[in-house]
Amino acid sequence: MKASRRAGVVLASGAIVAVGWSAAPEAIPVDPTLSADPQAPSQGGGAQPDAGPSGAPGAEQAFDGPPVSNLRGTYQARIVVRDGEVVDVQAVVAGTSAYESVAVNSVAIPEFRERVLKAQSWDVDAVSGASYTSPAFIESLRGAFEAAGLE
Amino acid sequence: MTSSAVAARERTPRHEWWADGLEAAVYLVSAVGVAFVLSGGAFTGASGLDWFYALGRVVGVIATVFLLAQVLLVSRAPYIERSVGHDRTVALHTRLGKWAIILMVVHVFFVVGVTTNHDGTTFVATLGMFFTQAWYLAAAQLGLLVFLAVLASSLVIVRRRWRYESWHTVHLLVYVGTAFAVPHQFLFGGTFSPKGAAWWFWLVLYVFAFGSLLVFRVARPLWVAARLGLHVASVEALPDGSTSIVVRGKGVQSLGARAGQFFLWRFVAPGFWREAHPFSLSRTPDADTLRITVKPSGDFSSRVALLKPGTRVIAEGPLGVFHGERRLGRGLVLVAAGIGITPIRAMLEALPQDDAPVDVIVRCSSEPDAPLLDEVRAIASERGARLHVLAGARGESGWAPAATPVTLAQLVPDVSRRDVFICGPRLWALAVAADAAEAGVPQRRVHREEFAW
Repeated sequence: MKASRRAGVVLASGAIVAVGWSAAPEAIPVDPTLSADPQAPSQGGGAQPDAGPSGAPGAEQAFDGPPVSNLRGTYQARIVVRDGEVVDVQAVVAGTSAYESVAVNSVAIPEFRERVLKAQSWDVDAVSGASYTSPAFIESLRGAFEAAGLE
Repeated sequence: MTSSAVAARERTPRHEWWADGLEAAVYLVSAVGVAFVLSGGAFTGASGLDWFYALGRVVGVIATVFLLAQVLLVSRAPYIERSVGHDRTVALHTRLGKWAIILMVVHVFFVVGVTTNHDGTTFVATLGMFFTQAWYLAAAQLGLLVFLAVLASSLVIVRRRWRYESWHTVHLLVYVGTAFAVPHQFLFGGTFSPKGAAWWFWLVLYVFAFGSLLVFRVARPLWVAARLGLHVASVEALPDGSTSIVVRGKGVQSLGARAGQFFLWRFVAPGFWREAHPFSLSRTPDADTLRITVKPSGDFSSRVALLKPGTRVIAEGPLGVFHGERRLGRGLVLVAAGIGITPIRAMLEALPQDDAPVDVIVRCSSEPDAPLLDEVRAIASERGARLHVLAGARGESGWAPAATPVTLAQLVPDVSRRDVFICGPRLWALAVAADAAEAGVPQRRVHREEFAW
């Protein structure tokens, strides 16, 4: 190929890639309420957010499931229990910081939160479009429920 | 002004535009694929190692486009075949094919490496996770092993020691490797799994490449063979040991074969039907027949003399860009060695009857060893073409006999104003091409074609 044509191909390819780059979505800011502070309670029953004794009426207690890794990253669930009832579900870790991971998990984790709060069980349906998050997060939820003695 | 300067100012032939256009298309389509990866957000918000993950995806897309370009090249679709020519095709294939596999390895290394880091496991453990978590990644992994085997078998040192048939069989495994690699592109990668523009783009690439392959390598040859009733009409042993085979088919001329082109021939008979071999037409096609002349040089070519008239024939073609219509000027020099004389003989016969100067140079070890020499002699004298027969053992270097080391410029003083067509063994043909360049023939007026991949 002649040098002039080669230059044309390089320029055109560059222009196409630039269009793709400019069409890329904005980064999604990671929702701070989505992930709990990983420095806080590590394993269920260990450290407690409230000073009160375990199971004291009205006291909130957090229980973490085990971190579960798969090809899309690591997932760890945390449940908050009050009077034997799950009142909150969070992700200590969910996937990676890559856009697509954040995009999927910013939808999937709140969905899991709703399902678990409603069912009061770790045994909830997978979230469609989150085929890697679902099994890993559910497995970690199960661990959290076991740690809380809720099974 | 020198003659080469005159020739250099002639406009670029159309086929060069096509050939460059094909190569350019490969790069531009790669760029579109990369653009889809970017617009899907692969790099958005990426930090640290995520960059390498995204880069790994980009590399995987390029590798696939290069791979599909290979499939398109081997499809011998008319829109490829008429423009590119075999030497150019081979060069493109070797270059892009090698890169496709290298990029695949880089793709796997980056993507698996970053995943391993995220999960805090080992590279091998991550590869093992494929088998429990994602069958399509396990399949892709097996596909990569197949591609590496193909690459290894094509390394010069291996290829030299292998039979062509063994190498070719391993090469056919690329289709298996591709089949194994496809699912993860549509099921795992975030770019082409959501059903949108990117998904369609990716699907169309596959359909176009493999569609061309199926249509032009399988469906069309079978249809042509059935419709024209292609069969062996006669088998004739020649005094030099070669065999001429006439293949008859009703209205075979409608295939549009030009003198100088070749077909890939498959004879439907026990011991033959598994292999298709390229042989040039050894005379201008007429209404119902094509003729090839085969010199015994290998297992297959030695056995063709045993073919029985009536044997069914499947022919892929016409193929190649080695024919008289490629010439840019009027005068010609046709240079042949060994069985390379077949397309030269056909071209000579098909030349228009005008006053354009034509020289035919036939290189052979001895005159009785030269196939079709009597026919060439007769046509040349009828046409008024000058025939030079250079017989004798080869020398250390150069293309002429050691005893008479002539050059093209000595044989044809005005060679620099002619088109030179060369057909013969590869190294010999390269030597003739180099001599032509030495004599001042512009590169685009030197026509040479390679059959083997």
